[in-house]
Amino acid sequence: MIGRPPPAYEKSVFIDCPFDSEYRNLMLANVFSVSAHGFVPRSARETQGDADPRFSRILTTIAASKYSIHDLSRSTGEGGENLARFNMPLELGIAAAFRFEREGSDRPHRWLALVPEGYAYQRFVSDLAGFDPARHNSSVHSMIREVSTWLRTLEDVLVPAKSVPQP
Amino acid sequence: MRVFISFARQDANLAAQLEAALRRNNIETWSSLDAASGEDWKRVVDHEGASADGYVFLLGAGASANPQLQAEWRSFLRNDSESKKPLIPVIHAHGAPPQDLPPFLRNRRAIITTNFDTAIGELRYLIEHPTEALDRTHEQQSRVEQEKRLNELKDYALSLKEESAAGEAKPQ
Repeated sequence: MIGRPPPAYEKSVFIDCPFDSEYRNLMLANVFSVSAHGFVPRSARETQGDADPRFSRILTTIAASKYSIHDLSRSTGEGGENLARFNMPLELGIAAAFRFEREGSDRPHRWLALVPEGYAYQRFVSDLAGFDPARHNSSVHSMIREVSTWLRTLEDVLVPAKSVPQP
Repeated sequence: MRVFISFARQDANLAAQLEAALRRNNIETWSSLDAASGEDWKRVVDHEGASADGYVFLLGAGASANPQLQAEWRSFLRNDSESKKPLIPVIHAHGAPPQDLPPFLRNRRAIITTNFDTAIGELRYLIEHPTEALDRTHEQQSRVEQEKRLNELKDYALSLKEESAAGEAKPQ
């Protein structure tokens, strides 16, 4: 990383999601929602030219972010070998550990898990059952709705000036 | 007009008074006091919240950290993702300090229950005039802050773009 001041910790939201072209619109919806609420979307991609291993860069970026969003909707078998992607759950585990470890400190961590609609997540990641994860149906609208709903409850959110109730 | 009254268990007495007073003023209400025992709580809140025309948030001490209230609020926000329904915070006079308002209510005019009858009058007015429920001072501050944050984000995105271009130009 060269000379660029990092975004403020309390405005940083680490986004943990697939980066493939099929998911691109959902990633952009996520980035849009985060930016629209006054936060800075962050990922390990911002330091991909650095010499550090990818995992170290991920740890560093999550550690420097007060918030994180983890989409587990693609953690299912894919391709000829029916392999699942484990990067997203792994990064959620890192965020959960930060939350636990930093509770009560001046650098707390908050995370949101996104899962597919329905209750399948209770079978593939049953430990999340008590955390009320947000559910989306892989549409841009549902992604914006779920991410924005969570962002609006965060203490560092910028409450948009234009939210005018209709008579 | 039908409003959903959200409150924590320890504020149930005040919520009951609030509900009775609004009904005397011909404003329909729903709160957990109206729920039948044994109902699926999450489903009822979701259904009643979605059909309400507005929300009244009775905020006592510790409300912002109450997990059940937070889940209820997320349900409302999800059902009103375009912020079209009035959201009115009512602060228990001996409860939550006004600066502890949940973030999504910071741009709303808050009512304090120091004098109950006055508070009901204000509440009725805001329910009937939802555009007045916005705190204009906060709105102006929000615009300034919004512009500042967007500029910061733009600078950051541009610096990333420049770094990325410089990285690509480097000989391998």
